[in-house]
Amino acid sequence: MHIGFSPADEAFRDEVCAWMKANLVGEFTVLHGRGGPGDEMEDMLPLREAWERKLADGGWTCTSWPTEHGGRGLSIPQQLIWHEEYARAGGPGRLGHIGETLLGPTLIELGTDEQKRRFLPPIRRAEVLWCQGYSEPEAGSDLAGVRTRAVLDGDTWRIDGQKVWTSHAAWAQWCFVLCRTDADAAKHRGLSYILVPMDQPGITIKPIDQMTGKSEFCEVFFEGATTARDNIVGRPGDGWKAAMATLKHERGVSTLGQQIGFERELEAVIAAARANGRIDNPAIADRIAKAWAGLRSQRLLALRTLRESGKPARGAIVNKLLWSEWHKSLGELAMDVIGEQSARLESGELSILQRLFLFSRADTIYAGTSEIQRNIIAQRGLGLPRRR
Amino acid sequence: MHFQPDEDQQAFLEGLGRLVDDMGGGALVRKGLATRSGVDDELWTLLGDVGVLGIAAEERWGGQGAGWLDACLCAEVLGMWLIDGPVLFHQLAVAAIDRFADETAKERWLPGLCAGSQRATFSIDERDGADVLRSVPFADGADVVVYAGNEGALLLETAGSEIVPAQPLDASWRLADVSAEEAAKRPFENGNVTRLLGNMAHAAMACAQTGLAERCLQMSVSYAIDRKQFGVPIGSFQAVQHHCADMLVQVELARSAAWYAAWTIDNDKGERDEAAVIASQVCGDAAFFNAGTAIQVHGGIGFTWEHDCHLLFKRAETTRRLFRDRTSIPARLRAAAGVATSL
Repeated sequence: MHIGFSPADEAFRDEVCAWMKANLVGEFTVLHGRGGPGDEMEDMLPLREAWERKLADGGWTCTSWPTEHGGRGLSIPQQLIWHEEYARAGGPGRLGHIGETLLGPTLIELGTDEQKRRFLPPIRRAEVLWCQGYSEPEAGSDLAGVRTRAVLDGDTWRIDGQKVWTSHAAWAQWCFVLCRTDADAAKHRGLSYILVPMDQPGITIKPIDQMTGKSEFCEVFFEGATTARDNIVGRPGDGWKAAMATLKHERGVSTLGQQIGFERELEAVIAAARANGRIDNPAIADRIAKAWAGLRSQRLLALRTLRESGKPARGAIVNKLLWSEWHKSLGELAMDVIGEQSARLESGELSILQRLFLFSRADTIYAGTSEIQRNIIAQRGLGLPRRR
Repeated sequence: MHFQPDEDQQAFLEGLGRLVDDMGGGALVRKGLATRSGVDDELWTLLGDVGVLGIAAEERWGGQGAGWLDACLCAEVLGMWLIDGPVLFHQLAVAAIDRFADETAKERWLPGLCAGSQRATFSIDERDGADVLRSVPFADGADVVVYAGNEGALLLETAGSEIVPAQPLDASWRLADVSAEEAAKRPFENGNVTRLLGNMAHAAMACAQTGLAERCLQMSVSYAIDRKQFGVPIGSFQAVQHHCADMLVQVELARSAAWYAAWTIDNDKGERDEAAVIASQVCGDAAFFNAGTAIQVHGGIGFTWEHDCHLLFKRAETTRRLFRDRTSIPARLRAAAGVATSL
């Protein structure tokens, strides 16, 4: 047993640190630690885009992609290190993450050569941003129930329907849309995965006002939206397969970077407790200590279960449920630390801890609710029978 | 990064698992219930023969020359069947003598302890003025006690000492108060190793708790598949599935923390304290949560004496407390988290 990274990987860590130190400077310092879920900084879009281009110029976008597609072909340990050190250096949330981690790997696995040639380099160069057209008002947990229709009319797909909870829709150039192309086929079999340019009259974007007062998630309305016939991944009817391919590529490597953000929030909770004396309240101190132990063991779990290839370790399946529930509890603990002051907004803005408290209520819902996660863990992880 | 047992460790552990299974698996702990010492002689002999008892002692004494990690990994296998207790403390005493006692003490004790012809146990209390020999696990029937106080570790040959067994909540876990003459107590001369021995104890117990949590999960899943109500397996009901999912989360967290704590003992001196503290908290909670949830999944049958749930539940409750206050775990945890208080 060896719990540590190889000397070569530690040297890679040094390389990442050095690059970040040299480049997250000047105008970019205002982005330090920002841009995560619930903190999208919509007013700073041009600066965030400029940062993405800087990453691209340094060769730090799409690092997990194979080298033939412009990536670095990083191993899993190196990807863990990249995410951890990027976050530790204060690297802002990645605008390009949907193209880089979702659409890109799907195309690499299932796309035509022409699609790879057309779509991958602009993602790599941070020239094009993508959004994910999945959820609909009538299809959330039941993703296969999507109703957005795509009909082939000559050389063009015509798309009609509505997506919801689409993050980054307002600033993405392209969207990959899970839609129904065969209304007669069985539910999962009538779906297609179609690539649609966002800037066209047939697409209307409406931000959704969230309980945080922000609106980074959007409704996207498709009314006679069009895309070229060849902009489909696989054949009509392969949509579910493509969507599952996307999920398969999500190995959870970003979790270490996410944990750095959580550490910062925990430190903010501790700072607040120190400032108002609640740190001397043993009940509060013990809860903070337990939250800390929980976060440390999540890091150990990630290191233990994230593997190069082959069948994922059993423990990998619990990642999302675990971090989201932990994070939600941290939000509640944060308010217990702040006390009565939680009812007020100082200077009219949510504090970091208030924003944590409100936004973390979404954590256990998006990317698979906790209830769905538990179903999947029980059925796929433990072999318990589905309800017939 | 190879955050799992090596191939030969894995092979050894699988062999140990099969052995325990062949000897009766869940029935073993009940055999121990009937004994005075809590230890089944047949099992003890077998564990001596396969090298488990002397796993962490040098080969010249009849040990396996393996690390504390190996003892901890054994504890996880044995912990599934609730037979870890006497073995774990015996192994810890053996490791302590092997690493820190003088040559005479090693010659006197290690050969017999490695072979299993004699039995050792362990206790600890870091607190000033504490009676370390109170509530010693599995002291009744032990030939020697290694115990660690705030001034260092000592060795006590039990012949001539008074051993008064307590009535335990967990009948499969034995505790006794030991009184001995000062002259019978032999200090370890090689520095104060109390904190290290405590960390070793917590690492091993964390692994045993992980095994217990895993057993609760497996039992519950099996039961949920077999037990039918309303014409279907109860495991097809979402509420039951969610209980099992929550238990899996606990097992995977616990295993990560436990293995790390065990690994640091042999490999990363600087991290031992923190790793032990994390493991103590996370694994203690995991075992208790899973044992309680297992009762819930089993329904009425989980509440019977006949079924194993109650043994797992009582063991989880006992071990989550064991040595925690004595080694200042709550305060150390708060300090590690950056919320040290004046408490």
